Amino acid sequence: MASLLLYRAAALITLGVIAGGIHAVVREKPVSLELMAPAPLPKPKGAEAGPVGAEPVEKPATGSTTSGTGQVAPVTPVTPVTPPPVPPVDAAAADPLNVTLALAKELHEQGYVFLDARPLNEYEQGHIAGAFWLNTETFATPGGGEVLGLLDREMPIVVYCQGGMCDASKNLVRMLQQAGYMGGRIFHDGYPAWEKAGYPTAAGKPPIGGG
Amino acid sequence: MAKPMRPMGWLVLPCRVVLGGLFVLAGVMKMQDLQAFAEAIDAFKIIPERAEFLIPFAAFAMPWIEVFAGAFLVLGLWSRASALVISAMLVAFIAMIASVLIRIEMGQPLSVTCTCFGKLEWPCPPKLGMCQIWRDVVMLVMGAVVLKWAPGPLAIDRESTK
Repeated sequence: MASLLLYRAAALITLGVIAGGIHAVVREKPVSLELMAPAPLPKPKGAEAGPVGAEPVEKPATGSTTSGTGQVAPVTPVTPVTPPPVPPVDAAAADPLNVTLALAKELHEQGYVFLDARPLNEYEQGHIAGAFWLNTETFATPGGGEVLGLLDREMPIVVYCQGGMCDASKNLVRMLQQAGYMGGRIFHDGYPAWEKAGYPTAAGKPPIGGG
Repeated sequence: MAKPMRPMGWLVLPCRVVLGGLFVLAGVMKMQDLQAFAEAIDAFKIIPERAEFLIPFAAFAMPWIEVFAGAFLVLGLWSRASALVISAMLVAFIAMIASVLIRIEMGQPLSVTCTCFGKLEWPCPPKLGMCQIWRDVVMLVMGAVVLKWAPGPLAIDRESTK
């Protein structure tokens, strides 16, 4: 009797799994947890020749140069130039969706929009200076609309939350993408890393979108 | 000849209809937005990252299991088996919600919406809390009643034994 009960229960589950499988096959739009990669970061003004943070590097002179007359002119040996540190944007090219602390700092200095996806009380206690407050719960509210109204659909938007296992920024970037804002990037280490690094912070109510 | 009705048999019918109906509703509502449901499963952080590929499968299968188990329960077909499946799901839901609440209490920054009834979120608010646990406990009691005294009146199981 008990085994018949278990067989029937297993049959019901199997029925549901088969129906779900058929549904997955016939459904046109797949269900996916992957986020779309955002467009590449625009090069900052004055650095068209290289990525963000890269200074023009002169090649070290070696040996001698030849003048137009064909005479060989002696040159003073030049100390080889130390290669510049790997610019943060190179890291961004490898993983365009995620922003490191260094790149977040750089984008902050360049004036890109930062969105704080944490609850309001945490935003009010402290947030990245200049960041707006928007999360998945306020996204579709009038306050969320005010913040969205400020955003450019193509420009980089850095979204952060509490770091670690916090999913709020990932979920917000997904909602931004669904709404056509394709520049959303996740600053995975979030506010704790920013604060620990001693970068600019602020506290208080959000300037807009605070309800 | 039909088996005589057990003394508590008449309690089974409302439990079957309400519990089964709620599961059909929950399954159908989840199917309205499977993407949101998959994201909700992901947000629970129950499934390890290396097994994340299972989440879309779960998102497709679970609503259908709910619909089938709920419909069978309302009809009184395989009543006990349906009640067993639904009760097992409810126990799993309660454990998952409790684990999220405990992890939030321990300081993990989890932000989980239930999506139990899709966008309907009835009768609890979307954000996970004790309300969802109590709601599931009430439904679990109904499942236990059906398991104990099934099939009750107006059930296909009952007609088939005549």
